[in-house]
Amino acid sequence: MFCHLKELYEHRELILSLGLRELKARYKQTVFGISWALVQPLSMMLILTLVFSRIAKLPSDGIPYPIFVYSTLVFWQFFTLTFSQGTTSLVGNASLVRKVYFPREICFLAIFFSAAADLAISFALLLVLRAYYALPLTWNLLWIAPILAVQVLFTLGLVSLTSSLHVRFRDIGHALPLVNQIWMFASPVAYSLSAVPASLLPFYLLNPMAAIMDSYRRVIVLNTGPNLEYLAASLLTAAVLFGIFYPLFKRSELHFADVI
Amino acid sequence: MDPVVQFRNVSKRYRLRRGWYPSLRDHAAALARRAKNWLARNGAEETDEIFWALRDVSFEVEEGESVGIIGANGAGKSTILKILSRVTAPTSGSVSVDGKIGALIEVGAGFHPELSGRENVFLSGSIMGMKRREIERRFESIVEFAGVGEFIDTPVKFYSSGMYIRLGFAIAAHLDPDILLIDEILAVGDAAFQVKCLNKIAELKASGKTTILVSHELSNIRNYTQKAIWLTRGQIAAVGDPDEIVDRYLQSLAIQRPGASSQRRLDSAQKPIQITQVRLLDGNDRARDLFCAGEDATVEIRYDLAAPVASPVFTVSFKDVQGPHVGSVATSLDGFDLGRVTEPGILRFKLSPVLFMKGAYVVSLSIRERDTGKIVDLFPNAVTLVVGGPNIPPNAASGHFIFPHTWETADDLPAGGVATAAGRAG
Repeated sequence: MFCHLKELYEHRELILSLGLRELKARYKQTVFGISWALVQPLSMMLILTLVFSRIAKLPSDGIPYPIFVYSTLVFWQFFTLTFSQGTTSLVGNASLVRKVYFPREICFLAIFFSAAADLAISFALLLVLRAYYALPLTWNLLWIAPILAVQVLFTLGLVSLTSSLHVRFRDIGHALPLVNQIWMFASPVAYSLSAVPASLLPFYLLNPMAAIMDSYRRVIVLNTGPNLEYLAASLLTAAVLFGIFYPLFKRSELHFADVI
Repeated sequence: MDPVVQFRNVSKRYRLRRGWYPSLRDHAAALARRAKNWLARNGAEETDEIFWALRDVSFEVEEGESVGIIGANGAGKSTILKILSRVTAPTSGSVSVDGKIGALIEVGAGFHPELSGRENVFLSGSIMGMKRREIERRFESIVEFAGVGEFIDTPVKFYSSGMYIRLGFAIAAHLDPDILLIDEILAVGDAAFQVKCLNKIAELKASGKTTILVSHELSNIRNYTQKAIWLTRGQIAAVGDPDEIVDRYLQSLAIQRPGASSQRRLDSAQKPIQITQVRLLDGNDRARDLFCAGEDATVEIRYDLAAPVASPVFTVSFKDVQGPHVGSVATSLDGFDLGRVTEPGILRFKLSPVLFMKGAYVVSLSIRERDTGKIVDLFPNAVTLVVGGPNIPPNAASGHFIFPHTWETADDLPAGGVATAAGRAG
């Protein structure tokens, strides 16, 4: 594992270049440029507010629904982007993979990099929304960093698996949108974790994203610390996944060029 | 000196896929088949889908050496480069490389059409392993080498394909690795650009850089390498002096190709006129396929008829066994008219003398209708003309022909002769 990290460090400029390429290419020849990064979470927020709050009258822990849902949407968007684009990133860079050597995980690391720029922008809007709803700035906000770290670790392990599978089986690419949709409704993004029946909770929390999303909402809008027990469980799952799938990825990457 | 590259018993196996992309269903089916085989105690693996690109290949490259790899398409040349540049891993055997590898393989690797030339230089440079600072330092030189000038800030999607390739090569040419891999690069670009590329390679060779060159252009192998490796079907056929290896390679090509004569059966009687036999003859009308430049050679064409044909036009064309089309001539070029052809006959095409450079040339024939230009019969790869002769010193001649010529200086001219300008024009 250490030698992989060392090699990645040697290729740090490539990660940056490819990340910048993703970012620049995504918003080239657009009028609104990177402000498109706001469109997705904002429109989701409006739709979900309309459906869940105005029509279905879903409780939102006494918090105005727009900020309640936006606090998780921002990070869910980051997850969706890194997960789906990361999964397809090797095949997307097939012409490079076939011809040039570099540590293959750079393909999805570059996606994380470019998605982080989108995250930064939509996060800035989150701070504005918080101010609008007069939520106080507290130390609890600092929890965002470790929660994000757990999320990234989990996504890295996941994408190590899915991207190398996608090289062999394009079926993965077709399943992605569906998986993303189901996964979002299986996580407390549009609703509160407290709305989940206690009897279902143990199963519900098998999904590491459940605790992660709940933690964001707690520290950003509920102004409490995260449920450490839940978050630690997610961290453990993420670490195990990463510990298994990243080395597997490194082993199978030797033959990506032959099958991609 | 210690070898900087060592290949020890390297083999590379590919599984050939039947369909387009393999899907989960294919794998499930394969798994079921394997289970069935196993149950039937039929331990044999399926072999029909396996292809060995390299088999037990061993060689060494020493520091500062320039090595050429030749062989037919699919002989495994590119696979060697892929393994060296770590794009793929060998199935068995071991490879050791001492030093930083740079590959001049991929021209335009990682170019993004939406990004400008400038952005792509940095992107592609970092993909090929250059540091940002190195690229900055060489940026001016890269732009100049590529000759894209003012277009450097234009998105490359608006580039002509020539500019695109030149920029890609310019970046690659500014790599500064310990070991440089070059694959078929010389085929790109216009003449002026090719000169730049060749000079770059000569410069690298002079600077004592270790280079490994894969090329179909055998003259480049002769001119720029000290050692040649000849691959056939994934195995090393011979290693040694480039001149000797290239000669042996050419001879082997001629052997694999159609020989000095070939016949064919008549097709269904749809065609009014058809070539039945082609032979190569020497000046004494004896069948032969090896000629020296300067000797006479004849291509004898026998044809058969189903119906009378008015003034058929015969074309003889030559192709270098290495690939490129060399040229063709038709009876119509010389105003040679066969008139109304009513019965089977013989047509002879005489090369007097043979002016081809050393090499092997595949002869194809066709017959056209005079008025419509429609091809009525085509006999591709009918015979191979092998031209032997003494070796030409490096860089002394290139191409496919040594055409009649003489050299003169002003001293050779009669007194009062016109000065240098005329010498140049001559």
